[in-house]
Amino acid sequence: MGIRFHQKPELEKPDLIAAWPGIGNVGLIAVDTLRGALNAQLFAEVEPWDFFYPRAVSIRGGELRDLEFPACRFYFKRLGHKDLIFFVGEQQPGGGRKGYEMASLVLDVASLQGCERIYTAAAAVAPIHHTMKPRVWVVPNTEELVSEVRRYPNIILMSDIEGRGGEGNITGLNGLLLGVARKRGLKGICLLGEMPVYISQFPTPYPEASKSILEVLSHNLGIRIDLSTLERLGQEVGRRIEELYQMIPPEIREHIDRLKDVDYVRQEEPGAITEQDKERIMQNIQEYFKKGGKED
Amino acid sequence: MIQEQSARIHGKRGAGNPTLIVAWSHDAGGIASSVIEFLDKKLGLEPFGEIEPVGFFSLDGVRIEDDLIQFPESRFFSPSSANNIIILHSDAPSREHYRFLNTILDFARDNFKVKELYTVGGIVSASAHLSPRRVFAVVNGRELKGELAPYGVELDVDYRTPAGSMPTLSSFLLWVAKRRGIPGCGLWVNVPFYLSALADPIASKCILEVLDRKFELGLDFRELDLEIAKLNEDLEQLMRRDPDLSRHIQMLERGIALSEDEGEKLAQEVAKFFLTKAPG
Repeated sequence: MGIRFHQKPELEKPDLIAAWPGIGNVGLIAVDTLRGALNAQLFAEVEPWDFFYPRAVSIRGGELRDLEFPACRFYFKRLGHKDLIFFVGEQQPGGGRKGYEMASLVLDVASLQGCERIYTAAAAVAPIHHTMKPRVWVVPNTEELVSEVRRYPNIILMSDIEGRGGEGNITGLNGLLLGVARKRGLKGICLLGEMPVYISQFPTPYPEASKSILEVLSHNLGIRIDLSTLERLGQEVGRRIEELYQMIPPEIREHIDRLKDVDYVRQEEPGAITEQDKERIMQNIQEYFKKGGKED
Repeated sequence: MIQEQSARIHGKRGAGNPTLIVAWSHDAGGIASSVIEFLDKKLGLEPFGEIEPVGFFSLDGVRIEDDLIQFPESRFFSPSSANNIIILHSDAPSREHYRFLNTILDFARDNFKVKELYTVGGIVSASAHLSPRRVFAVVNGRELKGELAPYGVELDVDYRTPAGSMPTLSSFLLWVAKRRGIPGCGLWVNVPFYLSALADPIASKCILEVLDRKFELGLDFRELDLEIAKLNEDLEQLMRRDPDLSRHIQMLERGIALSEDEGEKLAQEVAKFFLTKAPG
């Protein structure tokens, strides 16, 4: 179990930005878009055979040439005012010990490079409508970061969400990495882009949420990046979502449309939609999707 | 060492740089298991070691098969009448594959200094039962390629895992062996798809013939030939009874592909015939 270094760059207190696949690949798309836009260079990778079953074999002339495994790679970028490390995992390892081992390996590399802060990114399945701009749920792994993250644009904290009491779960490595980082005394923040609850049932990416995550990251890192590729993907996915949306029966669509008026963030003044209304809307939507998107 | 935690020896076995033959249970046509069963009958296989299932298999409960409770097994055997081979007959692990494969190689190399390994198995093909079977060899390095030429195996396979499929555990083992400098070869025989869930003694015999010649085992195939004759006779009877099925098998013999529906129906009818047929 180990890391293969292609080079060992000299970096000055870099931030690590990491993502693995998850719902709608929201976090992975955000992080990989940023990595691509900044033209970050590959410098290391996790030896994958301890974590994954191979996904392809190539045999030529009767000789087994190689096995192909999901890649988990590290990249770096020097921005001038800030150095960055990216970690992009093509697959999450199986649960339990393997996830912990991978998180530890990633943090070993981060620590070796002098990293002091870690970001991960993922999706937050939320009762929002797909025509609304997704916000970003921000979850730091230490109290010290709370006042800082409150200043980020278009974000909410878990304690802002009605009825949550500041609690929740982040499944998989995008959350676990920050837990292991906390154990090691490394500061970290998870950025979760909102994804409409009904879209999370479709096998589709949700670039709008990735874009919101990127806006927070860009603000925080003090950089501007070209989002045109992501915006094109967003438009294409948007068209597909609209097509799927039109296939949902009108009475369910009516419930979904009411999400435009729902604000699940705690309000000082009561909103137009009551808590009971919200519950009923979500219940109807969930029941429809539980039936596999089919009516009785 | 991993091996000390995960594998143990509980029987005697002479030394002497044997070849390790690996057979995974539940491959197409049950080829690997039927090869081991045949070797046991003819050579008398004695168990002498095993890999502990903890960490490699789900032990949350047990599987039931043919009315019986099953438990994952990974056992090493040696033939009482041949000392140039040792055999691993194992279920495929459900987790920690890389560590499991290394445990096999640690056990075999550290205790017995195995010089090479062979895996045996079946691959599903769109062929007919009367069409000749082909044995394909995939090596993990050039060393074994020349050695295999006299045994009538096909040595020019080009293959890449198609999308949606995964490599076999044998391929993974050959790759791990290659990394450790252990020469290895996968022997694959094609099994007509409509026999893949049943048994294919013709295919098993093809693999056994290669092993017999390569390792000079002196196997007597008369019993297996009777089994093959019985299978062909049964299928002949089924073809006479069902003209559609007969036509589909003849199409396969001529190399004509069946539609998905035709193939599914053929497999179902053959399975139904053999499962409802009284033993003997």
